[in-house]
Amino acid sequence: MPADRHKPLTEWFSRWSSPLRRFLSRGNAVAKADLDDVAQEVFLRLLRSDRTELINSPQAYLFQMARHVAVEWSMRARNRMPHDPTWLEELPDEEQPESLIARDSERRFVGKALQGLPPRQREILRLHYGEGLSHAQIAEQLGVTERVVKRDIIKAYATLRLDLGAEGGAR
Amino acid sequence: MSQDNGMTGPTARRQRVAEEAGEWLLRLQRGDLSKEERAQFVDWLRETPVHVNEMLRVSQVDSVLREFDGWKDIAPLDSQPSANVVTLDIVRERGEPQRAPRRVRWWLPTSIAAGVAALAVGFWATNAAGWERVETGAAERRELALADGSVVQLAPNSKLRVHLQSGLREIELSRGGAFFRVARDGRPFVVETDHATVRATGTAFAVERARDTVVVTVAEGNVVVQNAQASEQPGVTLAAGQQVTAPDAGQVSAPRSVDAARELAWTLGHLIFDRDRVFDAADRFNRYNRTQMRIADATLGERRISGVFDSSDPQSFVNFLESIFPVQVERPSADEVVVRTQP
Repeated sequence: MPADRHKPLTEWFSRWSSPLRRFLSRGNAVAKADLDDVAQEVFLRLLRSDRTELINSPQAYLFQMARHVAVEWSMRARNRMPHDPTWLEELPDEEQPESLIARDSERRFVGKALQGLPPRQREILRLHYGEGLSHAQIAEQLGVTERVVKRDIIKAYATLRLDLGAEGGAR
Repeated sequence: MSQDNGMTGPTARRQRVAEEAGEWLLRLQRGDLSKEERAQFVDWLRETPVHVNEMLRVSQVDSVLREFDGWKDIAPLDSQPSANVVTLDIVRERGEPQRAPRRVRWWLPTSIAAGVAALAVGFWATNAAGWERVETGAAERRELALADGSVVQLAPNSKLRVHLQSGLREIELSRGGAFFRVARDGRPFVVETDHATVRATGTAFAVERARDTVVVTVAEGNVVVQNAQASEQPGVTLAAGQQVTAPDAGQVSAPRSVDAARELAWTLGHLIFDRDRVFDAADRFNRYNRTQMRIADATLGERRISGVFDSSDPQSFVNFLESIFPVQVERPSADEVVVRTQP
């Protein structure tokens, strides 16, 4: 991790959260080994880690730990031992081949979850993720304050986490 | 939504944690956290596994939303009821008697809520599977814009169905021909005919179903053509300026180079002939017009001509033939012209 200390946090975030999601995705066998259990294990590892070290790159540590735990458990589920138990080591990316059908059903699933949101929340997400607008631009477009936009996004996340979470939705 | 069994305490607390995690996510996305803020975040995470849990969950949601590419199917707020298909232009064959003006047709996309269903769809009803049908008559070309930004030019005597879904854009061409200018939006764009299937992502190409053959011509970009029965085979890739034919469901020819502008001139209402046989030129006209031309003898039919014609004006072609060959013209019925070498 020393080499990564200077990387912007956002870059780490985008780099690690996607592989994390794949491991915790609905289609993955590891998803059944709950996000709850992963969170529990990550929590323990965070407690065991040096606080000062964590403060340097909290997101990066958080997601790498989560990913490591998920991979480790996934490997165990397949009766294999991880090569190296050191959680700081970068693990090979176990990419799941994304079939067209899986992607299609994922899209429909997410679309349906979005339809369940109140219209303004959905619109804010659409403007942010679909059109790439910033919170400030969305606020201007909708004639509300930025604070309102952020509140709506946060509420939408809270709702969607149940629909889109590892255990949520149709299997 | 909330799996609340009436116990508002723990659920409300959990909701609050979820929202806290959301706040942290937004702060982290802003970037450039101070050391103090990062310390706060670490301490918050190390407070209880619930915080870690909610942080992972909200990150997952954000990641899913960033990867989601079906935003085009999500209707904007307060928009006009957006249609799957909008008519841009209707072109009628010159000289045709004026028809009663057609009603504007609005096709309903599958994602619009039921409240908009009041709009009459008329003759072309949406069936339960969400397919929208478009058909042109013998004297009609039509240009359509699809909800994804693609433009379709439909030749006369053509019939197609459109089905835009969150992961796929599907067109079924059952008759005639169409020229597609495909908007790049991440979803595959697939045109199906009984002989061949064409896949594209961001390109301009034509598919024509003429008598017993399907012809695919590419103007821009790449498409992949597969024969309709063997979708597991890789298919033939076509680049701009190439054309294939699929004479039946079992075959797709090898690509050949063509003058795409000439082959696709019909989309602009032009037919361009370059030392083509009169037989073939007449056949081409017949595809786009109610008035059918028949070349009665091979002496005339095998002659070669060149020129640019208005595809909706077969009479101009007859006039042209009369001006350069000794021919005799008969009209056995209103929709038929027979041209033969003068005896």
